[in-house]
Amino acid sequence: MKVRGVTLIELLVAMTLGLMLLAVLVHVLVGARQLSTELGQQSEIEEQVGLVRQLLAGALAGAGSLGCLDRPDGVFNLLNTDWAHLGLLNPWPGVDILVDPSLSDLFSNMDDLSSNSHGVVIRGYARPLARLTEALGDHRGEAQLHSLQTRVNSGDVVLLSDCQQGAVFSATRTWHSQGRLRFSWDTGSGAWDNAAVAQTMAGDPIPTDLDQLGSGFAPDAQLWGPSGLLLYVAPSRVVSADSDSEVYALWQKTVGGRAMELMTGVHQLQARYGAWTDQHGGQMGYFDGDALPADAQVVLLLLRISLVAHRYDDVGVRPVEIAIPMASGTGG
Amino acid sequence: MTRRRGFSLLEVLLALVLAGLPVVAAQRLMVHSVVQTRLAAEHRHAVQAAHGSWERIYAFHVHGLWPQQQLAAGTWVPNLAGTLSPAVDDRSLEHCVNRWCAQGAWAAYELAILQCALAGQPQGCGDVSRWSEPSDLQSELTQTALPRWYLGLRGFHARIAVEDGLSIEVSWPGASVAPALEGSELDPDARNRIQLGGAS
Repeated sequence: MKVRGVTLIELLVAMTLGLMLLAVLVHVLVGARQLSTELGQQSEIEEQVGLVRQLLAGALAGAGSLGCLDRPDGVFNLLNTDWAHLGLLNPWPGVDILVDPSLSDLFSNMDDLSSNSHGVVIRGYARPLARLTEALGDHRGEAQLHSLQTRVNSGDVVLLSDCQQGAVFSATRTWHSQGRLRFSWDTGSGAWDNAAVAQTMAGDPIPTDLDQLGSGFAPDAQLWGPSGLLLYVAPSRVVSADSDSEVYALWQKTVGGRAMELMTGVHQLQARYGAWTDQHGGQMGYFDGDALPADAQVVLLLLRISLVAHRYDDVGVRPVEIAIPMASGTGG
Repeated sequence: MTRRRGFSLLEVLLALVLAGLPVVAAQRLMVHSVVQTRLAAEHRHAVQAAHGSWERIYAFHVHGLWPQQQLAAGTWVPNLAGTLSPAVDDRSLEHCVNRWCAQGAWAAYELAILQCALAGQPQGCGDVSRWSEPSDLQSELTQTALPRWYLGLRGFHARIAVEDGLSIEVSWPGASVAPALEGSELDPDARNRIQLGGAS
């Protein structure tokens, strides 16, 4: 018996049906793959943003700190009182947004900054050094170092504070022995030689000679070292140099520390203050670094990071905004 | 010598059906997976937008308003209460960038920022927050490169309440899936919802 095989028409019909099924499957697969890729990128961005947020929250907790990190009021007050404007205290306490960071001395050794990005400087006295062990007198003081590895060298600028009052001075004639520190404070002619007169948060003048502080500091007064963090955009070192175009990244550098790349593929960093004033019954606003009114009370740091987002053959810019209250992370 | 016959059309179709069953099952599984992933991304987007607003409002209330006795402790600027939707609001908005705003204007501005963030404006609410747009590179780039999930929530409804503490609630349709998968089996009446803050 002769049995015929499949005709061309039958084969074509079968193939068409099969291809239709396959097309639907491929369509779904492609959609799933695209979404998966995008969500993977999104997750990576969120991890990096979370890191930046955590880092900044920690740094802001010490911004303008009097050394009393468990007391957010202290942080806030120092940021917004005359302390921040005193020459003696500059350039430490506070948060500065630099519209053109290349003009700042703090960034003077960085010659490859992104030209269209802001720089952010967060500084305070959040590094505990030693606890005062005896009242100041005879033009000298003594303290117990928190760590045997800690050193305060002559000329180092330190903050002495008991959370009620404080003074910033340049320590001189320091001496270390078995975890104890002795220090003095000579008056010189330089900006950091205790030549200026500071004032307490209450507005009382602090004479250059700390001996004249009268009742002196409380027994739990501590010495604090300056802490600082720079945030800026510069070329990435993660992406290989053979890339077609320069890839920029968000960097952070602590004072006295090494620079660390936080986010790769950053096109632009913009920063802005959230501030308020008690004028006219209380008003609020958001200000660029060079537009902050003199009477502004800063409460918020806003960052806008423009990321270069790749999607197949296209490239776009994806902005990410971060809002960090000034006292975030201070507890209390 | 015996001549073997080929397959009949019925046999081929039957084979196709048998082969297609697992394919269809796999397809449904993938669609379900993609939809769930998409919903998770939308959920994350809503939380991020609400959290951003929360941080901004919180900062002003803790440091800017309570210490000055302009508001009783634990209370919030009443103008913050309101509902939001993606519909374009044709009211003129007083922006608060590089200028001071009174409490009412600031509250309206914050609501606009939240609306913009939820809708996922490609330029990060550029018109509202007035960030300067990225220069040079921007002109060379295409906005089509923005991922789909960045386009924000469609058909969302947001509500800020200040009666029993500040709360931000956002809900959006459950059927908001990637365009390539629209038309798949989803319940259009299902709504997703997140809430930050408020009385428990």
